[in-house]
Amino acid sequence: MDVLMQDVSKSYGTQVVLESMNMHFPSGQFTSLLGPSGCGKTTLLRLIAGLETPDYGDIYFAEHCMFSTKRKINRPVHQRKLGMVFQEFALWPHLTVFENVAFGLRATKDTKNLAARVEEAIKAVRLEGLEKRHPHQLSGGQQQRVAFARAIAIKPKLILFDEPLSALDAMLREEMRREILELVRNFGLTAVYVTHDQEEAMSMSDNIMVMQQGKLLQHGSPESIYSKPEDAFVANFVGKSNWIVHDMQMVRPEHVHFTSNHAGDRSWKAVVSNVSYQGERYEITLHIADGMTWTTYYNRRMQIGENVNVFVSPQHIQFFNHDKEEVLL
Amino acid sequence: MKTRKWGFTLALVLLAVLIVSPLCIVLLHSFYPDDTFDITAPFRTMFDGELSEVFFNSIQLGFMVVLGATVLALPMVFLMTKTSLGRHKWLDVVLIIPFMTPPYIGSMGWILFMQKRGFLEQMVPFTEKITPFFFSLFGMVTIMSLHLFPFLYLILRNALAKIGNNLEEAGQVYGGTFMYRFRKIIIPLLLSSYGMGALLVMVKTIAEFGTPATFGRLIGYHVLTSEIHKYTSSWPIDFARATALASILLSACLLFWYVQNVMSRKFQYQTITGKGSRQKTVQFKGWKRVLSWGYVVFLLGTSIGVPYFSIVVSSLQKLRGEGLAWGNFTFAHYAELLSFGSPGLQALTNSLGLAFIAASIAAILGTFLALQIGKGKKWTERVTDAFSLLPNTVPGIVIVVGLILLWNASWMPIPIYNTYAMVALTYVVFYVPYTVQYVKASLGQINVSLTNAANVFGGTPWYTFRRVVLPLIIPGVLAGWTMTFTISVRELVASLMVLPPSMEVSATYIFTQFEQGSVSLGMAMAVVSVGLTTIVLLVMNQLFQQEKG
Repeated sequence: MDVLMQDVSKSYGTQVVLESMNMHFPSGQFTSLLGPSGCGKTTLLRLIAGLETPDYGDIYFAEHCMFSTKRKINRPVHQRKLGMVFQEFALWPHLTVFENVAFGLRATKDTKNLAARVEEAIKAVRLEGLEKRHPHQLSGGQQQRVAFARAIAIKPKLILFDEPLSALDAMLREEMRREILELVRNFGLTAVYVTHDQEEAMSMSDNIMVMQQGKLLQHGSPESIYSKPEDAFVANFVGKSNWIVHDMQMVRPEHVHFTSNHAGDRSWKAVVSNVSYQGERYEITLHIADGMTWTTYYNRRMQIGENVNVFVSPQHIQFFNHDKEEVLL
Repeated sequence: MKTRKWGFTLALVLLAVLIVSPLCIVLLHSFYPDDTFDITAPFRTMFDGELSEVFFNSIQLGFMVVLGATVLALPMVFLMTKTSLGRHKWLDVVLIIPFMTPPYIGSMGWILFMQKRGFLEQMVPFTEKITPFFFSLFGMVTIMSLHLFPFLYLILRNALAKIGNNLEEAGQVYGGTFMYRFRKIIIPLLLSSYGMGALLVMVKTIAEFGTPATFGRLIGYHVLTSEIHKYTSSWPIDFARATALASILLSACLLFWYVQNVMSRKFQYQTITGKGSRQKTVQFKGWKRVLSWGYVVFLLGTSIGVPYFSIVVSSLQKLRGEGLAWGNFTFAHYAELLSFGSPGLQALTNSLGLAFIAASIAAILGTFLALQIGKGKKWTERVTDAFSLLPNTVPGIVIVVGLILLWNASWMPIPIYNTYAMVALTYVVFYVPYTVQYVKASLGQINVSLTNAANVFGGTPWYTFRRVVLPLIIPGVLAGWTMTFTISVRELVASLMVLPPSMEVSATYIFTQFEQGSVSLGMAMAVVSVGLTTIVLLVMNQLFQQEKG
């Protein structure tokens, strides 16, 4: 099911949270909304769910209109038939695992084969045998799975994630990323995933939408966002960036080399200021002669204070602010 | 959205009729002593009518009880937070008993203990030289301080616990001596809490009716509450004076509450850091240990031991003239009290029935109001909040006078005055704040995401309320019900003033038996009503525990 937003705006009082957003979440794909806190990504998700009302604009689920200021349509939340996984799980503390998962079916009086369908969802998240427990008797990862089972039990076409992994520790997060992806793929769901963690967005998504201050900065595959950022902010926010000219010319760490292979490479003098061992390689922090700090990688330990030359091939330099680009070249 | 508006309108109408209008009527009545509006009328009535002494008595009593409660509470606060005595958590529970004991019953206990040929003289004969001195303002302040000190104790103990050791240790590290730290860190941080506690004790003292009605009357120390009662219930009835006194009492209490509010907003520091604060405690040894336990025994003995000893023993004595002697004990008074068809049993069933009805209505009304208040952000919500809690702020007797003026008015079309319903209504108005507060607390703990999730998964607003919100606030509702039931059973002032003639409840039964009947029967009733309500409290508490487990 495609989700479409047309010209959607939202403000709280005088503060503009979202400014005429036009967005398309393609059917069956995993789309992440990525941005720093306060960029409006959670508000956007809540607008899709119907938990907040836009000031202006249209929202469509496939051909069905959920919200339209022009046509005066506003489908209430409980009629939108979507699954959602909340930030702190939002499991009902007084209901058992079974009843938490069954809630969506009971609420819509869709109780045919209830037990079997709830069981199926619980089995999909591998929580068999814990049906009678209450949420507080479960570990963080298990609670997360219940939240997920609750969302898939109603067989939604669209599932929304509001920073679902932020309450878990790092180890568990990795594991849950894989599980979420697998389930979303297996059930053929359209997923919208809100996160401020660029690594999470990069590793999970088919599409990423980078947002800042209520605006969509860039929309594309994780690869294109990383290798062809269209904006200095995106370059900074996604991946590590080394600035040649502040906010105008940038190169990614893996393209900074200590030896030159091509005649046309640009070169800089630098001093090693920090070395951090990462197992498979060393991350080297460099002070460049003109005051910038860069990051690069190397396969052996370097001495702090060592003077080096670094080389960058021109095709790997990203330019921003196109007016000035002409002048420099 | 529409139901929300209707809810607010209904809530405001209910509050206006039940709580606000009685108070307005009291004020209006006092401004129109002879059919002309005069805002100074209550003051003139008071000063012309030689009633100023009553006002000053109330204020003087208030200040002295604040002092008394402070003297009693401070050592206990210190012992429980700074020494190893703090391990004995049960003391915190036991120390609430005096506060939960109805003041009129406590006073009766003290009267029985200290009076001529009372228990003290029987046990220690030479004290007959001293006991008459107890029947003075000193005795009254003692009794009321022993009733109210737990309040101050709990507030100060919590405040001190929150200050925590790290703030003090920081002071130590930077070179402060004990006295310097006490002066520069503890006192300033504690002062606001103390101020609030002291003002609350002050308000509670001048609003108190039970002790002035029993002990105060015995020693001829008249205060605002007892005089209001006199002018409304015994000949010659004088509503002009009663409402004048009630207006002044009301203004005084509201003024103190206002000061308290301003203080708490201005001087409240953020002392909770989110990290659990450690308390370093001193282990007392030798004479210090003896002294500290001695103080605990003294405090529990005077605040709980003396009154309960006197009440229980009196209820068990065959002949009061025989005094304390083996063989002078009997359960006959209980048998008489609880025998089928006796006035005692009638009064008790009246009490339980009224309390049950009042508690049930208050639980429903309070829950409804709390739901309307919600987060308390909009002005309508805040107004609802303030009005719902008003009966907790205003002295009970003022509300009763207002309710009588309103429901007994010649234009009042609903004829519930002088019926069972009027008593239930009064209890509801008195105690609805408890449910409101408990349910508000429960609601505050429900994260918005829980109701959001319910909506997302197809729950209509009503379905969400029924399956998510309601189950989660039930503990609050039950706590409100229990509290209302418990104190309604023991309620004196409302019962004395609005009960229909010829009808009695346990509190009025105790009161009249103590004044002019069989003291033993009265005390047997006191034991039964306090015992029963304590059992209800314990049972309900147990139920909550299971619910949570």
